[in-house]
Amino acid sequence: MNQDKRYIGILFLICLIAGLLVSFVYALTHSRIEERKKQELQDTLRGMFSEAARIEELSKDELVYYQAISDENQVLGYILICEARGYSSTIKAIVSTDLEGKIKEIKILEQNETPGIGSKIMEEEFLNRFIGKSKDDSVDTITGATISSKAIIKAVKENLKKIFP
Amino acid sequence: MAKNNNLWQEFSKGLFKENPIFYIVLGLCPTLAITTSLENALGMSGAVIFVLTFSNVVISSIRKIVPDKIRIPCFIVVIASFVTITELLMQGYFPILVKHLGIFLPLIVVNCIIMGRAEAFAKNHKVIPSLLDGLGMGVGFSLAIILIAGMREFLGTGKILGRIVFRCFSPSLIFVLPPGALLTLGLLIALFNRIKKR
Amino acid sequence: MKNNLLVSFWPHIQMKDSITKIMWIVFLSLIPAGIAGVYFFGLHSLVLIFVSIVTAVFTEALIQLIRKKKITIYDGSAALTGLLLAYNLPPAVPFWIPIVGSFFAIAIAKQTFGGLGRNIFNPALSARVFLLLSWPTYMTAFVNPFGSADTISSATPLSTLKEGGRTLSDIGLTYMDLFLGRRAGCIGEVAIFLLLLGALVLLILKIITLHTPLSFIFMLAIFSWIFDKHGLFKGDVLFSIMSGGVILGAFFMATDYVTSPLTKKGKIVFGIGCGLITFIIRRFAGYPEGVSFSILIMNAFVPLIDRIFKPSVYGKK
Repeated sequence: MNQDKRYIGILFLICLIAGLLVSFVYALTHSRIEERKKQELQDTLRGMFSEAARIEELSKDELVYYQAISDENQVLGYILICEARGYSSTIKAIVSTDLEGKIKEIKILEQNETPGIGSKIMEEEFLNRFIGKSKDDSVDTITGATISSKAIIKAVKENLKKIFP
Repeated sequence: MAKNNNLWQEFSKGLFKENPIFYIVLGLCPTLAITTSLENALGMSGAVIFVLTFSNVVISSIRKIVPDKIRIPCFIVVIASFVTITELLMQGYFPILVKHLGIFLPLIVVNCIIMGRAEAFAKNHKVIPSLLDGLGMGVGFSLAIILIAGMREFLGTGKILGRIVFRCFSPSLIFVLPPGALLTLGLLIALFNRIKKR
Repeated sequence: MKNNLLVSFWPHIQMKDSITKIMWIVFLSLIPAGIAGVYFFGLHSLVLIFVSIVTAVFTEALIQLIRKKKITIYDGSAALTGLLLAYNLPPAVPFWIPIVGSFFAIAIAKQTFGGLGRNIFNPALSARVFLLLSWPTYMTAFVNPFGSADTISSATPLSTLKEGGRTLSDIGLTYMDLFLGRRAGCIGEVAIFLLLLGALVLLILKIITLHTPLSFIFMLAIFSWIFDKHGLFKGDVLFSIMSGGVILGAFFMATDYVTSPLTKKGKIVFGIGCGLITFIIRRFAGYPEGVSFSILIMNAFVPLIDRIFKPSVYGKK
């Protein structure tokens, strides 16, 4: 009985110390991590619209997107981030459009699809197929990587439809 | 001199004689899952060496306080919080590293090599040998997954580190698919056991 | 203490004929279907068959030489594996496909397990699946009969139906075409008539029994009939049997001695499993045809089936 109490005590102590340590480090790094993430997001957004003076966050039906604004306070275009469930991972893509919703550029931010098959969505050849397309145009999938390419095409179109109804 | 020799052995045994993948056959989930490209394997290697070495040190230093009966939950708590702390610190201060190791760090908690070495070695050895054991095992694991990933990436996509090596051969897709992982691993284990028997 | 008991590997079936004789009879019974394949798809198919057999025999000899075992290439089992693999290839694949495939069949699927009698999976089918996963573009490019191999790429009846959901007459084929083999498909699977003739010879010589093939085909037919795409009880039974590789698979590969159960009941269970899995793959999975997968999956269950349906020991109930 006493032995059990000792075990409980030690386990409790170890968990407590571990928990405290983790929360301490979390508190220490939390603000830095958030700031870094924000900075990173700003950098990626700016990468899509290098001519923009600033980028503002907008939202519509819980969908967050961004608009790029020039020096003369004119809206240059929109940027949206799309997520799609691919074959083996969540694919994250960033899309920039002009004012009417025609795609200017698309980049894949994150993906972990099968190398050599699904990862073909990273290739220029596929991404270029999006340029100039708007929400109702069709984009060809990649032979052999149908699931990954279909997922991303569908996600981009759905998000475009929400912003440009 | 004899002591130094012993320490060297604690390190070197993980490289070949007791290689965690080819002879102990531990930690197969990450081995099978992430060896689709050499880049992934390199990222995983760095993360495993780092975590394994330090978790061995921590567990070895608390081995006298922890009663035998509740050692497993204690080890798990130690390893998991160690990995979390590492991840947080990396995200805060070394963002470049996170880009390469990011997804592998949380995966390491469930890598049986970490638990296996804590159980088999660190819990009844002193700190310095435990550190060397962790380092050696980590390097051994890394060499193995780099070999497997190199073979799979080359055979499956014709590339090494994303660069095309040969143009005139049609890569065999199966090697980057799950069955290819099992095939490659099985044949390599057979090969290494053959080498050891000689 | 020295162990004097000799334990040999299965098949432990008592027969008058030797393994060698059986292998060559099976080999010969497959020849007519191959000739038909060459007639339909051109000389390239003959090259593929030849290359496949030569590589299989050569690989067997090479590995037995390395392992310092007795060289048994004359027993015909390697040649038969090579022949069956070639029969399972689309007629337009490049010539190195059967080389890689035969090497895989003998070196990996057969010899790493210990050679004839010890392999768990049918070597020819393992190699086919290996090739299908490795080079899907080559392994799914079919040609129409009498078409030139490098120009016309055509889908098999099964894949056409899987994608379009049309009926047989829409493709421009009749049951007679399917029966005689005038359709796109693998080299050795199209000539149903000649395959059945070969199977009949094997049945008469009692080399194979009807248990596995019949339960396989029956199960597939019933399920294809009941659970059709267009509604219950609307399936085309004859089409489901005569398209794809069912006849070749059921009579010549699911009956392989080494990788199929020993008892009659076991053989029936094996056939039922094959038929069911083939149906599931054809109907629900990404591939149009599932015969190779289903036989391989059931191969894995053979030890289990044999354990359940053990032959009763003489003197016991």
